[in-house]
Amino acid sequence: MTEQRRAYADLLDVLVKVGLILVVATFVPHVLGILSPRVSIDRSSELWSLPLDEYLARTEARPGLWWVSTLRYADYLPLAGVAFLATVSGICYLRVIPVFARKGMTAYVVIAALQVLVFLVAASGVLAAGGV
Amino acid sequence: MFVPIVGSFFPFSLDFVRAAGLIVALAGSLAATPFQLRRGYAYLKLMLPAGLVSSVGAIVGARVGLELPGSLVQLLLGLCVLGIALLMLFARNAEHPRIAAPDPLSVALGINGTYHEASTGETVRWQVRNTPLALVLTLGVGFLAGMFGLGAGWANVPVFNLLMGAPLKVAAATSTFLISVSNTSAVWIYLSSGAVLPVIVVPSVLGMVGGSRIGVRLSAVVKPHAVRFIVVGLLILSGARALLKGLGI
Repeated sequence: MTEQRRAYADLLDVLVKVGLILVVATFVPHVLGILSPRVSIDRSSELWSLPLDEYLARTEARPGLWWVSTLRYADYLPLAGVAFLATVSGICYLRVIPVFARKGMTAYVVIAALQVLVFLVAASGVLAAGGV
Repeated sequence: MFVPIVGSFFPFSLDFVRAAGLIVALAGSLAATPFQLRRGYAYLKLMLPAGLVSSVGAIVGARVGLELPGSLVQLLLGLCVLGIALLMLFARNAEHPRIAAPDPLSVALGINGTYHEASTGETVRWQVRNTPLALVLTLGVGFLAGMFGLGAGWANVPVFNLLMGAPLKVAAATSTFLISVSNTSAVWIYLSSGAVLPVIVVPSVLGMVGGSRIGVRLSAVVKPHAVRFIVVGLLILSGARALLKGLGI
């Protein structure tokens, strides 16, 4: 097995386990009622059949990075776990870029760096749709 | 299959179902990839160029999908799913395609490899062809995956296997790896657009993890053509339902 493949696999293995645990752990306060939700489950169930823009309008939610400010609420806290899972691949790419560079695999350094840039643009919220 | 089935038979808006479908597929592919990398079936060199292109397609697809009216997306999803069912019915994958000569791009990028085939004890060497065309198709597949919230294995595997000529095990494993990258990009779009509802996502991810453990055990005893029959049947059913829903019937 190549060094870059081993590095990617080993790091991914750890991160995905952490991510899945986080997704579940951050949902527990909502299930147990330990934290208050921003939108009650009753209200959410009345609205979750609506198109996204209507749902956002009725819950006074906003697109972009606004969700970060809502993590103190039980129904939004699991988004932290989802976001972590969505970060895992980027972290693994950053792990293997130095390996590619050390081996003189310039094309893959460029491809991997561009991929990280794509992840960052997607995560920045500038391409978000919907909103009030 | 998550989006067609849940989107057709549950009351959730397709916007939330698509986001959940992407996250379920992402979690599954992330969990499976370390094993496939260590077994030597998933390849970074094969995945990285396709992953970059597919990510861009997925972002555009997600963005376009969130702007279109729900009924139109439902209609298009129905057509897409029925197309996938037809592809699964008639496409015949090749276990070890024969490559006359690799294309110049794959040679320049060093897209080739060897793996140990456990069933025969042989070391299989492989190389690929048609890399530029495959990247173009991967862009389109990424677009569809981002737009409809689908995992893209149904298209990526034929691209890697039939078009590029990668062995089937390499194609399937690298496709799973690719989903972990392209879906990551699309998930960020849905997350920042407010389309991720944890009350749908978390139970779905848990269900996928539990179901896959059961599925692994069942796969040892269930015949492959029976699985194919069930999957195609479910796709036709849910695709038709999505089509009718999109037509307001």
